[in-house]
Amino acid sequence: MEKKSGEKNRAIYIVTPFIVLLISMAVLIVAAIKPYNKLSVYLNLAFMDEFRNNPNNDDNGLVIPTPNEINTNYSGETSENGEVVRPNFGEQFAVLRCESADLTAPVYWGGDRELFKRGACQASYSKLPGLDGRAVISAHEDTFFNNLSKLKVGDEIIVNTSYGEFTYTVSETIIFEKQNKKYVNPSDTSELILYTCKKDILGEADERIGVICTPKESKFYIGGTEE
Amino acid sequence: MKSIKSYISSLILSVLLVFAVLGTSAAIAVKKYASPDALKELSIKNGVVQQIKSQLADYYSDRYNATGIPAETYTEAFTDEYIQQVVESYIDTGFECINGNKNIEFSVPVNSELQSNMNAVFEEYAESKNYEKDDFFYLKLDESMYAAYKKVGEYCDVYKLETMYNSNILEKVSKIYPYIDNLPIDAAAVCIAMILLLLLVNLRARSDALYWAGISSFLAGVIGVVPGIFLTITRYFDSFTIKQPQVFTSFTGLMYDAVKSFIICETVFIAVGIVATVVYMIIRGRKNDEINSSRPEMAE
Repeated sequence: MEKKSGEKNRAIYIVTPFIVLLISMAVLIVAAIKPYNKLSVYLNLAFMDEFRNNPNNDDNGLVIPTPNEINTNYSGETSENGEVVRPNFGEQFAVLRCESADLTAPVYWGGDRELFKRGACQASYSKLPGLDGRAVISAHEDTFFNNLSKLKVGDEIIVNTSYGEFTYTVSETIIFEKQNKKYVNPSDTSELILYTCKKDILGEADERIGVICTPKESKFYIGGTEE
Repeated sequence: MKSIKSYISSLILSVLLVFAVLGTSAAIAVKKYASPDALKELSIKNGVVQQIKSQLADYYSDRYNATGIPAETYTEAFTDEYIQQVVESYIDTGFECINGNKNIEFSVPVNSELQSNMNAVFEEYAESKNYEKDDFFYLKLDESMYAAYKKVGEYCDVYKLETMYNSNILEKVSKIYPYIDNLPIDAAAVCIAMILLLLLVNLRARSDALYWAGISSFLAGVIGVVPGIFLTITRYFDSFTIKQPQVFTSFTGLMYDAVKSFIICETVFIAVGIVATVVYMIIRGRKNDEINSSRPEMAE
């Protein structure tokens, strides 16, 4: 009988920690549900990099794909209507040309210091050429948009992409303060905005110069861009 | 375990003690880093000064073609000591707000070398271009100085305290900050209270309180250590959204260090729990031996 009582006590000593653990975990989970639901939005915002990139590692940072070959001499069949091909952030998806101002620039999707070194950048919140709405493209005034100030009303801008060729006409030249977002915010008006910093004597430019271009012609490629 | 009543009471107190121990570890970790000195030490330990200098050098090199101001104008003036001074100034100002002063201003210490470099660049430009030093000239000079101080402040605010101040987050923190100082002591007091209650509930066998306290300490340690190790091994905090190197390093460095402190506390509690349980087993074993040796032998 004493032996049985001893074995019973031993069993209690062994099982008790598991009971305490189970009760503690249950209380913790139940108590944490409400705060977690409240905080989860902020946690997801604060820790949203799934790839856990460390910016201090040499092999991390924006991975810019090899520039695409954009066909600027497409001679195949085209259509006024078609589908756009949405590029990835950092991808060169177009070439912008204006012969009258001697302006040619590769166009990248998204804005980043590295991308601005390589070409013009289209704001990724703006609409792709071919879609209804405003497309906004900018570049540095000392590199790719060096000749932007030479553009005048009536000049033609051609944007060649992987899915079509889009022609615009300059309808207005603009100057605005850098804080003024009127020309760079999203808009339902179908237009192309090109802008850059206004050159100043020294120091940061407070003003931006640019052009507003209205769509003239859309040619969506039918069956690839190899022709 | 003399009766079911004392067993259940001890069980409940033991669960409460688990949470009290967890709270104590968390309070110690929070208190350790919730001070300007701790954050300044971390910024030095994580080498943010070099990251800031590198970022500023890249920025001004990129901007040279647009502004005409050589990057060296800025980078030569941004010494390690100056950058560290700006970083610490922002931390001190942030904590002034946290300590209750609502009318603060984040400002950057004057850099006389930057001012003389900038003057020299503008003078040289004016002479080379025969540019008249009119009001607009001096306006651009002032604007360039102002922009430089603003930029260096932005880059040196490694814990984004100015952003938090502007979003009223620091004001909210200031409401609970006064309680953080005494938090570990308060949490430890709760632990002691739970242990005293365990002694009270187990008056007939006071050594049982050692068992209950031991398993609570051990389990609290395990419950705390496991997620802490998980966060560290999976480098969870590397998914931090802000990738500006100095901000990323400062925040993730703080979080990893805080988790490390928490893990160390929890490991101590695991050890305390194991020792308490072993001591209990030894005491229990001796008591059983005493009982057995004092019992009269059965007649054959």
